[in-house]
Amino acid sequence: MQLPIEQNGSITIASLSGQIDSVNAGELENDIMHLLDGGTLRLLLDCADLEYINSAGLRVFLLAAKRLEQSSGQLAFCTLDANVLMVFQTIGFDRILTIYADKNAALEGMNAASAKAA
Amino acid sequence: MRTGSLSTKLDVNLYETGRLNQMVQQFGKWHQMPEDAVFQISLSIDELVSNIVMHGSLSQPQAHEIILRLTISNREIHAEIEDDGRAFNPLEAPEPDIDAPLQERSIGGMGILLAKRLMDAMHYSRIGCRNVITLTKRVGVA
Repeated sequence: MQLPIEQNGSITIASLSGQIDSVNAGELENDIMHLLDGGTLRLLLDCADLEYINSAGLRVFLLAAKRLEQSSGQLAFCTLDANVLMVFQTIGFDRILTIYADKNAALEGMNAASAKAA
Repeated sequence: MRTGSLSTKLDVNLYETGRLNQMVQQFGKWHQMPEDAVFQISLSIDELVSNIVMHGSLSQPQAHEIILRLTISNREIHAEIEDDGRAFNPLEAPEPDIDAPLQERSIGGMGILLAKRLMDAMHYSRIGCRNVITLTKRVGVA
């Protein structure tokens, strides 16, 4: 998939786009795990251009969230489209994952959360 | 919504699920289905078909074909998904506990749960040597 990546301080922002389904979720998993293997501890997944996601993609989010929580890292999501947010809520992800309205709110919130933890 | 129906036969592989999604989404738009209903019906069909492809290939007898029938009437979308694999009732599959804390959340079973929650009705029957799942989604006045 080759996720577009942008760095903001120690936060890595990866942009998701199009459709994440049973066919390409494996590539997404490889890309995200590659980032975590490379030492990324603070990851923001920007969903502004994400139109569709099924449980194969949700599984990858759950794996990444568990791993980053275990390593005292941070994972957050921002700019979810109405349908994607509906999926998160239906499956209870809004209770276990950190979701922000947009990228600025996410960067602010992630920095505030890590300052508090330090 | 415009009324209409679609019937198609799929091969049992994951690439078909991606193509199926495009088709269901186009079909929904063409029939003036509300955007959230298009998303919900296409996701539910995708989850159930992906499940047949992934589990149907691990157990004997394997599924060789999947048939999808989709019908739109005035206020209702009806989908029927049929396969010729081993008997499997997705409604009896264990459900993940979605209230569990993050580390205890199960990564399996989310697809079937999504379909159950997003549809107004979901039924399973074993007819001869075929599994038949029916989905119903009611749509408000658009």
